[in-house]
Amino acid sequence: MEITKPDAVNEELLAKSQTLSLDDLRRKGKDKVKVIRASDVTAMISETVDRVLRESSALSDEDVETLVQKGTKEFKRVFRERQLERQRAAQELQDSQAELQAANTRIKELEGVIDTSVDRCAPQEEQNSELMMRMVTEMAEIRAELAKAQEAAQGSQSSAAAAPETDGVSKALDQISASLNSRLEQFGKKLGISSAVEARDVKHESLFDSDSDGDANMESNMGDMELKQNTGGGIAGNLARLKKLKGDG
Amino acid sequence: MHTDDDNTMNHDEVATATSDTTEIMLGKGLDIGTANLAAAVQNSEDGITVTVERNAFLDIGSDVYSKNMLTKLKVPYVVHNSKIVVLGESAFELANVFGKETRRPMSDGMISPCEVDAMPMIKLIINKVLGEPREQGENCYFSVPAESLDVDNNIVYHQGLFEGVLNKLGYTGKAINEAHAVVFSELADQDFTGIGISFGGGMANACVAYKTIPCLQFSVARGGDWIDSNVANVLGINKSRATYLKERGVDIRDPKNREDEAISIYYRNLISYTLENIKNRFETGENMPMFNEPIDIACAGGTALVGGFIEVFRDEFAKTDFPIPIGRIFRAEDALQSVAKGCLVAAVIGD
Repeated sequence: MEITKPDAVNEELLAKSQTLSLDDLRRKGKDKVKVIRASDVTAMISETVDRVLRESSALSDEDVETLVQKGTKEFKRVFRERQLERQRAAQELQDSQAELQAANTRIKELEGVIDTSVDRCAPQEEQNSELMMRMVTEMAEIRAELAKAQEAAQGSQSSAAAAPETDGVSKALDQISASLNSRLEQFGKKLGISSAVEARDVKHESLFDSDSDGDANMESNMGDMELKQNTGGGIAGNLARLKKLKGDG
Repeated sequence: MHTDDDNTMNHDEVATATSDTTEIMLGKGLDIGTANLAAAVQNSEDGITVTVERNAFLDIGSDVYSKNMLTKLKVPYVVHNSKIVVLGESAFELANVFGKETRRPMSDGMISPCEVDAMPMIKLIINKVLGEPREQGENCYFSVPAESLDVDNNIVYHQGLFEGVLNKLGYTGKAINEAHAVVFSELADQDFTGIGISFGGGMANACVAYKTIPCLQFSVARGGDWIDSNVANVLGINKSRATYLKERGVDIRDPKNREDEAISIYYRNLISYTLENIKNRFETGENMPMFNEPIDIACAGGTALVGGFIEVFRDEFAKTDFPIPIGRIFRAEDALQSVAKGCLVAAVIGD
């Protein structure tokens, strides 16, 4: 005879349940929802099973009691495990948020310092370069820290309870990381350091290959139109000055 | 803002007149502005001829009656994607008559990414103002904006695009910063030393030059269009109407009504914003030149054509604690043609 165990019931409940945010429910037109705790469902099932078993003659009262005690013990164990998982996920989320906030503050401070330094400390080129290098290094470190924070956030994302929040944190970290990469590239270029190889000049002539024939065939009256033209002072003086400056004149 | 001139001359006439009178050197200048396109070429009277066309177009439904009417009215059009597209100044005039907005191939000094027909239309207008090259591969210096302080702009793509257009038309296209062109055009008497500022439709460009060499070039993404947008917003009218109001002859020192007042306010703001940015770049920039003698500031561009511009500029300059000594502040004699003229000087002198 197969007996329904509380942990099996819990697993089934978890497997067949889905997590929906209040916004999701509202979008589905549900303003009010009836809720029932998984523990209540488990208790009801246990009670029902217990009653059926006691009323049947398949098991003795002692066997039934043993089964109930075993089931209750198993249920409490599973419940504790779930509680610990939830606490861990909440702690990870809190840590990620704190790291994100600290990183944001540091980035803002550094950006401010860099912008001011770049603009204001022009004559001290050597010191500037060192300062820039330090800042670039520091920003690179922050980027690495962010990458770690991202990993942590992705890890805590696996917990169903914390999924929506960690998703948001992860996206914010992605954005900051992308922004940092771009800033680093810009500073690198200013210092003559860049991870990218300079591309060859882009040839744009081919952009007009397709429409050049089209132009000729376009129906138009432009050939008959007179152009409005203005006359102005000559450029002989300008040319003479230029030649003189170039040493030709 | 065009001046009709009875002495109109087409490009073929310019070429044939060469041998009889003044020596006309090869090379053309092209100002590729957000609001206007202007092409400059030397003429046989020791002067230059500048062909200006508004950088705008307007599409209308295509039918035989409209085509005939447009041709009779001497309105230039092309049929593109089964629609009649009116080009240039005529598009602007028609838009104002029908209360519509013109379509603009460029915005903020660059080719507009939002306008799908930008390239074919601007290519047609360039072809119209520039004409055929007098010799295959003739130099054509064209204006490009400098990198902007207040917006991200991809000048490399914009520049490459127009080099491609000009090469396709048979020219050798070479880019020059538009404020640097103002220096070539207006500051010859100062040995091309000073500050050239081009107040265009999409941007204001500034160049600080020492003996032709640009020491500092930058732009701010505010120009005539910025004034038009703001005036249109506060007055509840469309942008083309605001442009028309601005260009009909306002004196920004002496606004006569609510419209003039709005235009005047935004002009002052644009001038002050540009000056503050130049000052700021001077104070914070690296390797800035030290000028022992006062240098001149030359203002040019279509947006500088408004009445009272240079007086207001001087007013605003007086309020600015400018970091270097400034001598004369003046507006180019032909403000709308100045950039094209500077491009022409660069094209004729060559590399």
